[in-house]
Amino acid sequence: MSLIEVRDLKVDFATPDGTVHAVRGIDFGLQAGRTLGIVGESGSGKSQTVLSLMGLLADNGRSSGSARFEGRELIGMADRELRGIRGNRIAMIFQDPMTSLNPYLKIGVQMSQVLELHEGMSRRQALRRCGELLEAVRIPDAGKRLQSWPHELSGGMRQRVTIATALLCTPALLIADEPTTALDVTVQAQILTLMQELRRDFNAAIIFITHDLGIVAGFCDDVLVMQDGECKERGSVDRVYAEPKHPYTQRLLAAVPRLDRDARPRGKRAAGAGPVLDVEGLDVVYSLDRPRLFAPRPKLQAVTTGTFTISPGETLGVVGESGCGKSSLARAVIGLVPPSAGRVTLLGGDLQDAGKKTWMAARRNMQMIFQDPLASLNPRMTARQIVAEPLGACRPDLSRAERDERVVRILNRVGLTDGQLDRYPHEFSGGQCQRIGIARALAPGPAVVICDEAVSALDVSIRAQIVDLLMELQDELGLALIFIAHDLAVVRQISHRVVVMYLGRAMEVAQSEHLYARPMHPYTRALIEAAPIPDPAVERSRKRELLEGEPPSPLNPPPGCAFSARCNFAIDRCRQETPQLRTLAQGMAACHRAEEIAARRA
Amino acid sequence: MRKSRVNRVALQKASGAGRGLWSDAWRALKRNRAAMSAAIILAVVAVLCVFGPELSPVEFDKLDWDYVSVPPSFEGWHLFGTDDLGRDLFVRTLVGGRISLMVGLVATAVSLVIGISYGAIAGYLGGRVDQVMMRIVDILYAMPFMFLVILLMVLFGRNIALIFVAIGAINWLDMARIVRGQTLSIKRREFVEAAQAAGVTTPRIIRRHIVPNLFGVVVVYVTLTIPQVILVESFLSFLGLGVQEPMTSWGALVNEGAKAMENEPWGLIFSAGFLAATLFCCNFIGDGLRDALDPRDRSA
Repeated sequence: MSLIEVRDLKVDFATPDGTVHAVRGIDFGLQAGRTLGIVGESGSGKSQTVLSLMGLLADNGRSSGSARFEGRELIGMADRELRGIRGNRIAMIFQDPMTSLNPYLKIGVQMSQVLELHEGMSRRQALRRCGELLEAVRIPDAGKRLQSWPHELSGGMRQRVTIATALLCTPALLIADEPTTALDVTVQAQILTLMQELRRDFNAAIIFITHDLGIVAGFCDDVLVMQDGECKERGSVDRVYAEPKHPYTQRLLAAVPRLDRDARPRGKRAAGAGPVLDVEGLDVVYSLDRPRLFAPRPKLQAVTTGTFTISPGETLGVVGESGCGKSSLARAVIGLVPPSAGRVTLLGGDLQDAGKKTWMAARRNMQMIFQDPLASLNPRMTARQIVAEPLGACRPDLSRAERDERVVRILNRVGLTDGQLDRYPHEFSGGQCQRIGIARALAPGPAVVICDEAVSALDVSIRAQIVDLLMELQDELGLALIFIAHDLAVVRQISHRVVVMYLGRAMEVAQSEHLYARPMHPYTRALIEAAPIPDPAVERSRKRELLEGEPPSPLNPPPGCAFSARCNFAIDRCRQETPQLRTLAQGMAACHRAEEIAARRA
Repeated sequence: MRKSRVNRVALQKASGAGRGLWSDAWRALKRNRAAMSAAIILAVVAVLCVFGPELSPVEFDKLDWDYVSVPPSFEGWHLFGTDDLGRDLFVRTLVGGRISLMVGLVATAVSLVIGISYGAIAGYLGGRVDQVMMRIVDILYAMPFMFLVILLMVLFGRNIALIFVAIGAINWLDMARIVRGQTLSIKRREFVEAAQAAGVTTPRIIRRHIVPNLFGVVVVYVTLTIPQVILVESFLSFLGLGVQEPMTSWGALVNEGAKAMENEPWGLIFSAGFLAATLFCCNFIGDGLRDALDPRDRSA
């Protein structure tokens, strides 16, 4: 007997342009204690499916079909009755823990409201129960946390609070909509492990919505693959991952880069050529607002002694969690933020005390691709104008006709047809927008291109296409790429060498094949262990040493090694003496025990 | 976060591909009945004011001693009656409308040009430049506007051009503040950073990337500034500081009409009616535009 049985569920939205069929007939059933993963790319209707079960569709949405939950029909149920089920028998966890918590209410107050409403508890009883649940989701000092405001908690802690809130009434069904997407990979691993334990303890069924095939492999029993509002494939994870039947599932699985597979970056490093870009001892320090009038401005050290070189045709990957300074490093190299110390040498020219003219020349040789494909394009300019702009700025040597010709050629090269050149950004899909972004970066003919999370905002299949395009272009043009990302698997796919950053410092620099096979730094190790692999069999056999806690604030870094507070290998020396980046057999690492750790893995 | 951005794109796509930001707003505006009726009424008023006086058989400043203070009638084509000098009020209302609408448009245009350039530069450059520029605005805000106008009138005599200058000179302050605030949020968007990284010069970034993206907010604000300016001019005329006789404006007509309101109510009713209708219309259009350009409303 299934807990929930969904038959031919449809969701339609009435829009000024006609009806949009967001979900076109989905069937599934779920038993207590089991987990169903719903995967799909953006716009596939996976969120709308579960929102319709909860009666939470937008005003212009309409659902039809059948969804029987504990013997009761959810579709078409009166709102009053649904409210008794929502939060009580079915609970939901949302993607962004900051927006799903009310910033004006203390944690204890917003949690206890649920109990007062559904269970009729007194405030005192409710608070006691809330405290117990905060302990259940492993929040240290649970009693004290009830008195905290949401902004006082870190992202991971906030997500724990929303999970605890969802579990307050011991729901039979828990719906999690991308609950870890906004979190860093090490924190994501913590939350997933926690949810696994809670599933066992509470015997709840879980519907887990995600775009990440790796998470589904490790976390779910069954999987439902959605595309354009239709179910393309449904079955146990083992079956679907091992022998996907539907071509869409096959394509999707083939497009996901895997951490445990060898990857061969395509770019050919020019032999014997000197480095095209040489960065030495770069510091980036931000001055924050004064806390009080006349108080000194607090300093935030975003990057400490950033040092690397890169040759033509080479890709240097930079990985780390959010706030580790990888974007600040890129922005300092390209001159968007002024570095407070260090030297950047591009094609032999020192940019440190460079005047305006040198910088202009430098910009021609160094360009950047940004994270958000749509936001990085001016909504009031056409694709042609966008790509022409940097050409006008840093190639005054070209005539107008030459420029126009070049713009068209580059846009065609990245895959846009002539008919699309005069369209505005919002008329393009995310992948096409990113192609325009790439064309803009390549237009002046740069030697170095910095990709700042250039594929992070894209869907899996589009991401694979863009990565392919970048590698092709690199091969053709002999570009040096600096590829910044938080996704280790993508970085592995494209990079020759990888820098791992933590709290503004490079922790490890090594050849890609060495770094992934035999990490020397405990942080690299932890990152690799935390990253999910889209293979249920591999996921089950992996043993993980999870990192505790979350990265400390760069405003007051711990003494000694920045990582020491979370490190499973930390010794007293680590907490006193900051390890410098040392050259070892396989590369460079900033760890006192690097040799030991590298040997342990081998 | 990363995901939700893409979702928004997908949503936009799902709700209709290939639609301009402006055509989107236009659709929303067309659905807003209050705004559309207001636009039609305003257009009628504007056409009347521009062409009406030319087509009328009577001059606006012609004294007709046979018809002093007559109520509205078709006899002699005094549709709105005449004032105590025998001048036809229909033509005078339309001519006054020309002045009022012109003050509204010109003074708004002045404040628009100064306000946008000032606000965009202050907001984009930021830091100390911004501090100094915005403190200057604060200081100008503290100037007593009426004294300034009276002083100008005393020094240079009554002159319609002075009214434009005086009104424009205070209105750009609001515009500059609004534009600066908006610029602060636009300059953090990635496409501005992309332009910086591409080596685009600062004046060009302001011109090509900041200002075009300000339009949504500015358009709304303009429709709300025009009635405000008309009202200020009326107020000045009401105080006797506005246009010079025999030229007139709605404010001046209301002033004269109010003096003789008990015996000749038509002198007040028509000019006040036109003024009120215009102000209402502008405000309705402004509200409609604000709703139409609000991206949060776009999915509905």
